[in-house]
Amino acid sequence: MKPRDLEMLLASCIHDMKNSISMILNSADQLNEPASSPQQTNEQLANLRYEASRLNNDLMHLLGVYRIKERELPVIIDEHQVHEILQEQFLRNEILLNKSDMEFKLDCDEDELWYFDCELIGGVINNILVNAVRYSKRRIRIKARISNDQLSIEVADDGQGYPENMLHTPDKPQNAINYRTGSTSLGLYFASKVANLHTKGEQKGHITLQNGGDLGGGIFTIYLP
Amino acid sequence: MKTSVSGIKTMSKNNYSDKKFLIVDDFESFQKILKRLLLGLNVQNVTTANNGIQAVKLCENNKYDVIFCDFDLGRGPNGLQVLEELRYHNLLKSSAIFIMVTAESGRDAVVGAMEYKPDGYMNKPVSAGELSSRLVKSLQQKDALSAIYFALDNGDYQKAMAKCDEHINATKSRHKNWCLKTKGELLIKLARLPQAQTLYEEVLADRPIFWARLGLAHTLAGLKLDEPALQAYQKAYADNPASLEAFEGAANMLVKLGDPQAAQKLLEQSSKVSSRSVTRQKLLVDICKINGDFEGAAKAGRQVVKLAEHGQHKSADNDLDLADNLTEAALNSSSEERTKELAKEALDTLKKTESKYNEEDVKIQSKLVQSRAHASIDQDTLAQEALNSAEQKMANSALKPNLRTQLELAKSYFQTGHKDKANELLKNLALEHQDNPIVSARLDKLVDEPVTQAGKLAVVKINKDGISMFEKGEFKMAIKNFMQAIQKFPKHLGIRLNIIQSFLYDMKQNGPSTEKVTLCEQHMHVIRNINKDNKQYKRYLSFKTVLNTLDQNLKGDK
Repeated sequence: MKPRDLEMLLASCIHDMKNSISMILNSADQLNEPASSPQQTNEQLANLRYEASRLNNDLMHLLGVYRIKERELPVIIDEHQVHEILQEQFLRNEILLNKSDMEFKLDCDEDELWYFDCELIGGVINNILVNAVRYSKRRIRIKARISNDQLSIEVADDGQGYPENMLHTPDKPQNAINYRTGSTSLGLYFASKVANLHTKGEQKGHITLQNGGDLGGGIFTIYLP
Repeated sequence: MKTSVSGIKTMSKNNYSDKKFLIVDDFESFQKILKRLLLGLNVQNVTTANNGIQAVKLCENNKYDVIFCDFDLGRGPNGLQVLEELRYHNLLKSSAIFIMVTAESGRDAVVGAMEYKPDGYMNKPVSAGELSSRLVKSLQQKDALSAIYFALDNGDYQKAMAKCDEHINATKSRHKNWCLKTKGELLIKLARLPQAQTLYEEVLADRPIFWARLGLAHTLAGLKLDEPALQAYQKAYADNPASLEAFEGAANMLVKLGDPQAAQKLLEQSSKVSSRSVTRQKLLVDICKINGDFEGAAKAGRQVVKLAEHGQHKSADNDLDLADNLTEAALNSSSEERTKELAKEALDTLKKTESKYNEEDVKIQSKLVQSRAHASIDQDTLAQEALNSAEQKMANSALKPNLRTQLELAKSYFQTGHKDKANELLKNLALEHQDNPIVSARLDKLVDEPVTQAGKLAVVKINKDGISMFEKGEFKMAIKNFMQAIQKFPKHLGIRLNIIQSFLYDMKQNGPSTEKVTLCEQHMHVIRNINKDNKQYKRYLSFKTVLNTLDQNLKGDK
């Protein structure tokens, strides 16, 4: 990626973070109103959670991108229980999923073992999951499989799917600073870098974006050799 | 919400009501958050601590089942140092679970460690579900591997290894990886290095797994394969730039390979997280001294004293070494003002040391360093007084002074103009310790010509090897040869001059460079007080002229 592109990516992410902060303040104000119904309160709490998670992910990505650039990001590959790591991402967002009334499914063999940096991959999946909550209608599914000697983790939802221009170049920034895509782009850029850092011999990890599938929305997949 | 995630229901069944929990965090608000989450899991007994020192104190009087400790605890020891302290003093029962809570980058420093590993990690912010999951995971692991933990606690490594093998050879075990890792560490501990090497190489043939990288590097270092070990350490810190052990290992190898300058640079550049480690700062002190950079040694020494304040590394030796290095720095400084500052700091440090450790031994050594500090700023009367006071105390003491004290005495004799007394003392010590190579090596470090028989023979061999390398035109090899030698005989004039000569030959062949001239000048600086009557003086002067010319030519080129 050209330095100019990265700068734009960072700028749009910061723009996004400012948005999140105003949403948080807004929700806080609304929660303060005595007349709000339990349902409204629930909704505001869900918003609050969502924006705060988003903000946290954005900050992690900014730090991560900086550390990759400075060659300071540790990649500590070890054997992990795939199911356990994925389940933890669900648990991190349990309240958010709950409040948004999402149907969540984890499709993964409990005994599956694979080799990766659990912190980095956990962070990537967490980010995609938080995003999916925002963009899906009511169903999210994480599916993990090992085939052809690589692990694929797929996060699918039943939302509108990814914009056409993102599908081909998931790791490139968008041309203009769009409302609420800066952080998605940075997240995907970071995800693709993290995937690349996972190597086995000549093989390198990568990510893909698709639309459709049996849920009909966006499908994010990360492949790890 | 409908979910099909299995295993969540069973988690809440865990009963924590009879378990004792400890939370260590410098932020009270985080203590509260975690406490609230734990109470939600039906935990009833929770204690909190604000810093590492408090945490260690609490563990001295209580046996906790689960400890959540933040990595960054502000002032004082960090989470890893707390764990080190607890394990070192055996304050944790083997069934206890220590979970490190980290904010983003803290994990990197912790994950790389081979010794003193926590049982689990958690990243802030922590959610209830995650907390429960990690707790269950750690408890299950402790339970499944209890036989191994038990054998390890009893120092029965054979049995621990046999139990590890059971998991490794099982067709399917969740703990295979952990057991392989542990087996590797045990093989190293038992000095079965070729077997350890095989184990690590087999793991690495498949995947670039970090613990295997580091383990292989340690093994190669143990097998004295310096060059391959260096490469293995370099790969390890490329993967994890926060791994203390990888940087320390690489620095050690660089020193062994005759490049202490690179070792110092590497340690100074390595990440900031690790600057909080006492062992790293001690290593840096040693390497700076090899490089004759006493200001650097003093800087790292200050850190050693500060970091070792609480814990197992606390020792008067740290404070005395700092004062000693400050004095050496004062002697080596070219600015008069700086010399005064450094000498004053040395004297202040000694004053503090004497009141901090109210022991006769420490007082004697302190007086000896004091005499050199005074001598460094030409306070000859005060220097002599301090020396007399130390001698008086030694005479009054019923015990024979220990080796360290005697070496300090020799150094002070040198510095206060009693060269004969110093040589006499060292010769006696050489005779007394002639069968002890470690002591002999320490004696030879203090003098410009070795006093021990082994040292004398070593110098002859070094020079012979060096000359044969000169003759073959292998100047880089010669530099390496003499650089390795100067670590053993840092005051040896001839070896210093041979290093410079090697560089000069090398530059004649490959062209001059500013870097090499600077290195030569550093060595020249160390021996600048050479006596005019010395048989090497002529050589010294001629090198000085050559270097001046080279320096001016290089500057002229720019």
